[in-house]
Amino acid sequence: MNNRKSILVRGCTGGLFITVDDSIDSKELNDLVMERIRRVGPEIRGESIILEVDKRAMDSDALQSFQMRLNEEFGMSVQQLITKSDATREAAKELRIRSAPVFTTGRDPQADTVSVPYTLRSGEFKRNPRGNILILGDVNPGAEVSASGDVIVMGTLWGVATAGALGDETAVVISLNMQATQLRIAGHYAYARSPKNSERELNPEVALLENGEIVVRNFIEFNLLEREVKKSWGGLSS
Amino acid sequence: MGRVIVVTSGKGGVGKTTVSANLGTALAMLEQSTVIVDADIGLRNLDLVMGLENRVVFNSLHVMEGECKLESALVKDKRVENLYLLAAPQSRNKDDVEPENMEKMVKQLSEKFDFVIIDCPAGIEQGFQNAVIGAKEALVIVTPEVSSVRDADRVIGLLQATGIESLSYVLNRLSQQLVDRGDMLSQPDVQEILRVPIIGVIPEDHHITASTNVGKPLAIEGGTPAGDAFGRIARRVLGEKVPVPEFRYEGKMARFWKWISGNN
Repeated sequence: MNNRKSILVRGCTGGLFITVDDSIDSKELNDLVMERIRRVGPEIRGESIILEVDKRAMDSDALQSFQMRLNEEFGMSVQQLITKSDATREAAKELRIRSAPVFTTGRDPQADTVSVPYTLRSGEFKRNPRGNILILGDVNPGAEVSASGDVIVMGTLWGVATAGALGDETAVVISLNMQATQLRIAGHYAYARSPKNSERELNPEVALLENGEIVVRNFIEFNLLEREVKKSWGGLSS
Repeated sequence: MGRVIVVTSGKGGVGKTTVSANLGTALAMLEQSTVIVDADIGLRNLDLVMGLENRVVFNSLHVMEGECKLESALVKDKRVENLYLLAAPQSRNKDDVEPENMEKMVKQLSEKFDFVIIDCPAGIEQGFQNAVIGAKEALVIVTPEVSSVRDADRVIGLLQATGIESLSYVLNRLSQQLVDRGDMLSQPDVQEILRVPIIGVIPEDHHITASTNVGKPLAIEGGTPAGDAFGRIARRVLGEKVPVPEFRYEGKMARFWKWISGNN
């Protein structure tokens, strides 16, 4: 059984991103995918799924049975279908599932994430032009971090952060404690808020572009997946 | 082999030379043979602060270039046993120092003394690199100002990238009165950014100015807030656990009552 690589399950905020290789037999597909989801663990119950099936043709029956099993076993449902097959797109339309030939949000889920396992001190500059950057520490005042994708700081962000350095307007900056000197997303700038004195509590926040302006929101209340779906949906003609 | 400690900060004017002079003095008074090396080539100050200017004949560059023996360049402090100074040249500049020669000289010194304290120049250029080259330990001097913390943070990053094995910082010129008023960064504020161990807090003390001008390190005589703080830092450097006292600002009335009760 060599199906480990042919079904790829990746987590994204709000759910799972599942890629099914065309080499998998249609009869086995449901069982194999369910088994892979089960292996992820019980905590993903009730979340949504982006399913990528490349050129595989699925009729509405096949898709519906997939949906039903997903719902029965995990309380999940397919939110978005990525497919290059016209037949599958038709089936998705019947079942009112959003579909697109490619993942159109501009956020490449396979983008490399560079992880920096320490605090960036003043004068240090870390960048990843090929994806996201994850800082396992603080970004101190005077330090700078930049990525073509998202910037995630598992600590306090005091310095300057650039997300979407190559123009990706859906890129975000996430930090457990947002005290940035300056935020930049896809060529847009935002300057520091007035300093919050003696605030040492963690308050995860996300900075993103909304109508050409950088806004900062509470991260817990924010659902990245919803935004992804909205973005890709908005980009389609149908 | 003695311990080699570089005193550095990045930013200028935060008290590297003062701390070097006083820490060296305090260590010598704790019966550790100590040499303080001025690594600020071209802007020598340490001999002034220590009051030894007129006794400097040879300097560190003479030693490094082989013009004199190490022993003849060492200036012995007559007030404190075990305390020596190695001065910097004033008329040369930092590019005249070969890093290998500096390293060799520091190694030589560490074989003769229990402590080699290196007073680093401001900046992060070649002068800094030369000062750091032979050191295994570093004390980073920080004042409670945003700019000083920023530069210290940079220097800590650079030090961690070199061969420094142990690193801590000294918070210099802390005024509890200003902190209480919310006008100065507090020790937790600084700690939050630097995140390396602190080895001591030196309160703002007007005695420092006078001591610097007359060339007599405060640590020689006790009884001043800053002088005592240097003594505590020296004991901590030796591995003793010395608690940090609370620095309270005393208003005029408090000082008056203290004077009345003869309890000062």
